[in-house]
Amino acid sequence: MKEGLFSRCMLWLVLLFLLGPFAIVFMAGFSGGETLAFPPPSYSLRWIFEVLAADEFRRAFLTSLQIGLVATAVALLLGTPVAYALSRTRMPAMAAIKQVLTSPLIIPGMIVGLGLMRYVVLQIHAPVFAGLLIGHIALLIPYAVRVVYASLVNLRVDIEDAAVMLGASRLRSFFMVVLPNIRGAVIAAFFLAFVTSFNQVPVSLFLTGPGISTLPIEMLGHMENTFDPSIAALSTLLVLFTMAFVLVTERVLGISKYM
Amino acid sequence: MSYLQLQQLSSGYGNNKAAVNQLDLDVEQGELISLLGPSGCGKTTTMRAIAGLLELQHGRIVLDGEDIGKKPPNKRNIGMVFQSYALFPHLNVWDNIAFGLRLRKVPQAILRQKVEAVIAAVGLSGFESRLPAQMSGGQQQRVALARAVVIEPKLLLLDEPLSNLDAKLRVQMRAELRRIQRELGITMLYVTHDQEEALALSDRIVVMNGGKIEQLDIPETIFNAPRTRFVANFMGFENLFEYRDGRLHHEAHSLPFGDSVPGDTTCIGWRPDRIQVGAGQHSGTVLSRGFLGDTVEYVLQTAIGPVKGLAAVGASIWREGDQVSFALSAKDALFLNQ
Repeated sequence: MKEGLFSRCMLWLVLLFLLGPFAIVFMAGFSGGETLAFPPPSYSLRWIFEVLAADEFRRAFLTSLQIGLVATAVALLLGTPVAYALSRTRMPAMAAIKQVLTSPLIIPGMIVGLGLMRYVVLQIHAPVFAGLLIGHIALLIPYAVRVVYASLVNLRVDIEDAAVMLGASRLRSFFMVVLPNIRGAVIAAFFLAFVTSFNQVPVSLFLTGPGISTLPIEMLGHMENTFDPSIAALSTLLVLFTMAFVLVTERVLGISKYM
Repeated sequence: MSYLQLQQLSSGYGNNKAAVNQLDLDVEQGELISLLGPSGCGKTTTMRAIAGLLELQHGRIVLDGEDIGKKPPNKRNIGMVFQSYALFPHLNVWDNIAFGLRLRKVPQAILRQKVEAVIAAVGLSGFESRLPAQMSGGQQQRVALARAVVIEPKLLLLDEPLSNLDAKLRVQMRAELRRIQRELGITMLYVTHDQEEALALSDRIVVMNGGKIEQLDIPETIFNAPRTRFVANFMGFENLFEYRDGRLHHEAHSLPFGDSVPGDTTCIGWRPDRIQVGAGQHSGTVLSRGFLGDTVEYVLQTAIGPVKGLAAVGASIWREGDQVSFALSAKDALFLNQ
């Protein structure tokens, strides 16, 4: 019973640690005051409405959404075949290739952003949106490869041989027996990659330009200039949005076992 | 012309030396042939080359009058049962079995009829909507078999299909496999390392070693009259001795053995049950003993190395280190000349 008590205490402590800061933001978001303060002097929905009405936030939100969805889709389309090749080929170079493909997970985002800026923006003069997109795709591929690869190594290779012996071509057997069995991982990779893109600051920082900004960058800019509770309100909205999203998809698809 | 002909077949993994080297084999229609041998003997390589899952390095595969050596595996119309069953985890029993027929665009009514028939034949009626993970090993085995035979393949390859089952189920499935094979008249190539299984199932057995065929014969001949030391040892002739100049040899030692040995004999072998311990002209020291139920098995240290023999349970009991006599008789011996 002692151990039970101890682990329960630890659980509450960790929960407090994780959710505490969010509780502060949450309360500040419903502030009725003029500046960011905790505890807020009064409560209202004033800043929530303000944020929803703000043009620059809405534009940045849509940009983030577009970048996130497109970059995630492309990263998965590229990453899934790569993960498949990694899991089904035996070559001495494979370990090194795997390292390279997962490297942005280790290298700080700042460095990646700076590198991408020098290459994508300064070298090939890509438009801002394209630059952001390319940067995010490059950033997300390792996530896609990682998650899909993990589920592919657990999938028996011989079911593909079985499909082939029953008359399917290699390509067809991938779609008929591999893809259905890694579906959950692909969906999980989608969410992981999308959230990563949506919250991305360091990489986007170097790649945003005049007129086009992602939501986190816009928020960062706003915070530098003003000190009102609108950022707290926006954060609250985003967290609620994400939580609803995750709850619904978890109910429908049951993806938590892949994350 | 035989139904399946392997001519000078060589194949293997990667750029290594061929795991199977210039193998010739003829299989008749409706026959059940076992490829028997220890792991690494090339039996699985041979089978995967026939399936098309491994490329041929050299040679021809002729099935039903057609050279299929260059055909992609999905066009060969060969069924295969995998050691791990390789059932599709996301599909239920019905969809697993119907998989091949759907790829062949078989009309719905005929598909239904065929799948129902094969499910009944393997005794899985009522399990149609189960997923593989919800079934026992034996049941999964039946699904794998049904899935492979329902496409009416020209040839059915089985890769150690019973090795993941427990002993009792293995014997039961063995009989069932034989029954289904007879009923469908399907030609089967059966890969196994289990000699008992091969002996019980096969019309003929191919014993393989080092990528080559050691012996190809009916089970009775393989069991009673192995032609090489390798096959003899694999079939239970555990006491094998070099023979020359009227003597059995082991390293530097030898023992006279004169009586009625054919002239060209180079090796003589006995099964343990053909060497009686307790009486005879030779003697040795007991190294170990094991109670087998109706007999006791002794390993003796003798002038020609360890000898394994049996004694009846009623006989005297010898302990480790005791001196005991044993008999080697030409009547019970296997004479090899290669």
